[in-house]
Amino acid sequence: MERKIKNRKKILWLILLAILWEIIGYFEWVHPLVFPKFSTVLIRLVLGIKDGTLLIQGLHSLTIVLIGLSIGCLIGLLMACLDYFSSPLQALFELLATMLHPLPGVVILPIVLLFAGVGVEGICLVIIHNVVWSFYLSTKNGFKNIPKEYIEVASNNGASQWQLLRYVLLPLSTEHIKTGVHIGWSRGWRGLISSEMIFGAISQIGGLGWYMYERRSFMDTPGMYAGIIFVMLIGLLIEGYLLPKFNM
Amino acid sequence: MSFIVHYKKSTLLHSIFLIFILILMVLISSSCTKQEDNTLVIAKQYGIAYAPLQIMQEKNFLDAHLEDTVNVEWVQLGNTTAIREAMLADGLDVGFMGIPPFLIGLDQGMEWKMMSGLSESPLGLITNDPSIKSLEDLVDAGKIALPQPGSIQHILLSMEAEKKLGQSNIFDHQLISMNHPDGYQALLVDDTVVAHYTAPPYIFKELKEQDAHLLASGGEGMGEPFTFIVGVCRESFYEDTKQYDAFQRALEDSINFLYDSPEEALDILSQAYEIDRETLRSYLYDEQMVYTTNIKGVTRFIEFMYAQEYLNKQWEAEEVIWKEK
Repeated sequence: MERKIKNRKKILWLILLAILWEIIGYFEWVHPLVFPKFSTVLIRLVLGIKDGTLLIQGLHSLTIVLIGLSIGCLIGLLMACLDYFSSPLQALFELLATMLHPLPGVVILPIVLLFAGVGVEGICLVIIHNVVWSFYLSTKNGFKNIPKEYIEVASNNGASQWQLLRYVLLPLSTEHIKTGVHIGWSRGWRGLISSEMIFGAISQIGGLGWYMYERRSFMDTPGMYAGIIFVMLIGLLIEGYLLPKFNM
Repeated sequence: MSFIVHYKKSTLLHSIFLIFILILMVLISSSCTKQEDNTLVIAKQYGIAYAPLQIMQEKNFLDAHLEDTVNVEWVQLGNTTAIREAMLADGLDVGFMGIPPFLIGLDQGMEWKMMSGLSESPLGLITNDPSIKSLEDLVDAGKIALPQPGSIQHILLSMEAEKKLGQSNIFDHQLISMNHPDGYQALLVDDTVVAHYTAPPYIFKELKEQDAHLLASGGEGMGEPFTFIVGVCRESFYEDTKQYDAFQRALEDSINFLYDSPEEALDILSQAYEIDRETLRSYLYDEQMVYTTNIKGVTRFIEFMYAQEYLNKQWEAEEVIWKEK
């Protein structure tokens, strides 16, 4: 009930903001090329979705994020496991994570471009970078937070490393792993859109970042706003609907 | 009790809303502030096509024609989009760019016209892949680097594609947006980038690289001589007759200086562009590199861009060029 009222308030605000936007646009207080009317943007958005351009670009971007996210999570998981069983590797991974985790993906893009060239591979590398460190850290954290007793019971009963991992470590840190995927998704998604926009690095289709970049260079401001709203909608769909569905 | 809580909550809400409105007002007012009248801001980009502006800046030709109270400010922006946006935000008086991006801006509702030409220049599509011998071989062969969609390089490539292959947008899915220095580097080291549509000095540099050859030159697709870079201003600057005239005269002075005193011009420019003197001489005084205030090729650009739906309207010449005073 509480939630319903809150949601209703949010929707009311949304409508209010849209009306405010429309009024500012209607009276042209700001040049329409800077701030077009809400209705113009909405029409562009609907047309873009209807003729498929936005959908195709969005699907393309999502596919790349999913690929990057899965590879990043796999590597992160592997690192966390190796980390748990080998102390030299633990030192190495911790060092790498401390150094590389704070680096935004776009920072390494110029280097990635030199190694992988422009295109899907390069952008995937950026996403993997964005995902891998946070996923590794949160999985590692999950392993660390497992009560000692469980692990001792397992080893006293002669569990091998694999069995310890399979039956104790992984099942008991699902929550942390889920959090890792969630953070990985948001970091990966942001990294993808920004690298597409800044470097215009594209494949045959381009992606949403490229769509906005292109709209900007054709001075199609409503199209640009439509792109931004579409990115927002995808984010909402995934973070507000899809991820909660898997209890993330 | 519950009343107090409720009361507190709503004041918080109100203050947040007030802050929001305040931010909005600041945003609106800041985008409406006019440039102070005694500053003249001019935007250029990098490249030897902008050489007269470099001369004008360093020899103070513009200040000589202006009253002492006027302050001249030069800004160098990375691409045409940035210039367009700066002018829209009221931060610029005069900007220099290619004709197609200017037309796109006009067509989208920017209230501006061309005031002068600046340079004609050799432009071309270069590849260093020996197996690509003609435009046909380039189809789906890899990426083509150029400054951005809608740039003069993109339009010239589309013209060429329409002429030779019958389809103007055949290369559009192969484009990658890069500024000239990045494109130059990508062509050399990146295997996925096979061609680069570029301008001087990069076109001269790239043609000296191993296996580099020209696939198309700007003039071929265009079919007639054209101005590469034009000067653009809005009506407010055009109507400020004193400043407008001063700028036009200063531009003529600069171009004359470039041709009348080549040695001194080379001194200034080789330092500014960090290119050695003799190389720069071969670039600047290349027979295809012409500095002139004439504007050529506008009608052809408009016709093509209208036919290909880059423009919504077929503009007339007097709608795109300011009348001479």
